[in-house]
Amino acid sequence: MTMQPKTIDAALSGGVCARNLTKSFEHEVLSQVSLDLRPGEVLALTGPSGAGKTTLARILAGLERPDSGTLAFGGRDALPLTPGQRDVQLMFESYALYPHLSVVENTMSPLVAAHVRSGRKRDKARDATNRATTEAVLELLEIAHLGHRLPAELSGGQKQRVALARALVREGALLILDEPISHLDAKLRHKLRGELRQRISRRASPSLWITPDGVEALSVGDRVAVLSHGRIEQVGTPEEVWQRPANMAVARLLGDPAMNLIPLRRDAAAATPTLGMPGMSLALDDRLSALAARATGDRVVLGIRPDALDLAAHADMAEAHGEIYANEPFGKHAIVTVQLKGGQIVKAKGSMPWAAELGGGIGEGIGRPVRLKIRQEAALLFDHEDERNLGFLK
Amino acid sequence: MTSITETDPPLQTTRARDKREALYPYLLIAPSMITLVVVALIPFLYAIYLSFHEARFGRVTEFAGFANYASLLADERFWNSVSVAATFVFIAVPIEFMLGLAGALILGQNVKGRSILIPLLFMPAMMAPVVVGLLWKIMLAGSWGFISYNVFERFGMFPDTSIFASPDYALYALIFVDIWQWTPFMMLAFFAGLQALPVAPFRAAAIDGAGPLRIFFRLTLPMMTPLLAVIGLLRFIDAFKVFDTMYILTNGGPGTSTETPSILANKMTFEFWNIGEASALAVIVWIAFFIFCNIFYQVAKKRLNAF
Repeated sequence: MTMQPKTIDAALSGGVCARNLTKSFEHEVLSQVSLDLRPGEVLALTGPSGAGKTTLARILAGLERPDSGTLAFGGRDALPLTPGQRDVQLMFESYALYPHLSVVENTMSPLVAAHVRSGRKRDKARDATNRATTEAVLELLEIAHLGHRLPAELSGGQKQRVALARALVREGALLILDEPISHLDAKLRHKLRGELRQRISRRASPSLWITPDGVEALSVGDRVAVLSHGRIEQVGTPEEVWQRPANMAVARLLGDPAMNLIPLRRDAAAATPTLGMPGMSLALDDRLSALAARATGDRVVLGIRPDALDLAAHADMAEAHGEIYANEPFGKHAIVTVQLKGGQIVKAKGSMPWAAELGGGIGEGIGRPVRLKIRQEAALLFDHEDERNLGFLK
Repeated sequence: MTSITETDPPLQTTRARDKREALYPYLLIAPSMITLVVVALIPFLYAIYLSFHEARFGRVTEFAGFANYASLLADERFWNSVSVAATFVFIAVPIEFMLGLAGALILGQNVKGRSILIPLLFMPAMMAPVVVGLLWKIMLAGSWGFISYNVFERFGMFPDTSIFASPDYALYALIFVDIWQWTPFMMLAFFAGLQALPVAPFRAAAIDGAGPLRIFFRLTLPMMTPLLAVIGLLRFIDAFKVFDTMYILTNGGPGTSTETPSILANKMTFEFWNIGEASALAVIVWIAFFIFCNIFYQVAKKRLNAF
């Protein structure tokens, strides 16, 4: 959680500072959202769909007014300002292209609009510069050859790139990209993710990159903010958010496949600190037993990433039993899904030979019994009641 | 399943079914097609037939070639009717168009009582044209008309007579009635179009920081052009063909000052009983409109993305 100072931080003079933004439509969409965008940084905002990401973007851009809270751009109260006055560039998730304008005209519109607002007359030199800038952006996004087409003549991915080009063509006080690369094909997505990130991180103004894909957020953000059910769950560097998720909501969102979350109960009868459930018993090491002691009740949730979960057919790894539920080969790695004795589903990620050996063939072995070992040094413990990370210190 | 012949129906019945299925769509459109042929196509073809014949007092006599057309095109009264109709249409329709658009924009601003206002706006267009004619005949009926007495007489205009009796102003009174009748309809049609516009481009314009005038001329208007073109064309054709209200209000008079081709054709038929020439008039108007509409259609399709 970020700190929530009462006054607007003057040190963020070139940045954006949102405090306690709340917005309800039929029900509460955003609740007490506080977020800082520092000059020059790329802040990745991620969260499941329906978390309120787009609503937050629209409030920052000025298309929507919050019910309460404050918003400052460069230390100046931005709430009374129109989107144009805030000088925000927003790439809409729905593209919002002008249907009657060509790709070039769409892309150039922020430049032309800024020019019109300045009240100066059109001049040839400015027009030529605008055209050149537009061409360069279209070139970067590989849509320069579509310049004269209308939006209706473009595919979804092409429209998305035009919307992106329009947001990039001019630098304003804040750039907001709402799912900028989500509808592109995988190859272009990988290429653009890096190029786009590099391009916007060179800017002096902050950028907000919104994506439902936690992994994308980790790779593009200088910092990552996780929004869930209208609340900011955690803000931190990608390393922080990845290694020490503040709670189960964050843990669930990041990683592919997501972290395994296994609800366990402290075994009072055991001599050493032990967690268990039907078909599973885990004698805790010192670190985890100290964490388990912090829990509100005797129930905790063990978090373990799929690549820190050892599966084997051997008998000496008897922390838990289960059987193979699915064995999916992905080329360079494989994911084995296991149903534990208690019904719980966990996923383990490993090499292809490992999965093939486990299942007795690539993609095979459904129903085979397996044993499971947890690398405790990589495990996290969450409180069952309030879902917080027991190892997370504020 | 032992053999194909047992499971499949005999070849002949399959064919019969195929035939039935092929006929089915025609069966469905038959009622409207038959109606259209009987009430529109046959009379139209008959009118063409009549236009090439000498036909007076309900009796079709000998083939006349283009004689009807020639005498019509040489008739000053015909050209007068064209110019009356042109004046009527080119004044009334643009005014209806602009007032309608302005009204639609105002309606779009979340006016209070919009749900009450909208049904009221339908009323003039829903009224029978004859009723509209009678209504305005009474409203503007010289010293006992509600408007003519309270407005015109007060300022000494058209004393003791109706504006419809004035050779100089009767046409403008007709234009006024047409505007009264059709502006609300245009307003509602444009309002519906305005409501159907996608909201996203307007958000993009807000982000771009465009002002309201620029948004209207560069975004709202271009996005609405297809609708504006279609509604405008329909109103244009309709205004040219207007008959009922005019028939009630002036029947082309005084003299020929408000005589449009529709009124003239009616007079030619039922007053002069020169059915051949009246048919020729109808055919000429049809050809003119056919050409005009096709040109408009092509232009609108290419330039305005309409249709």
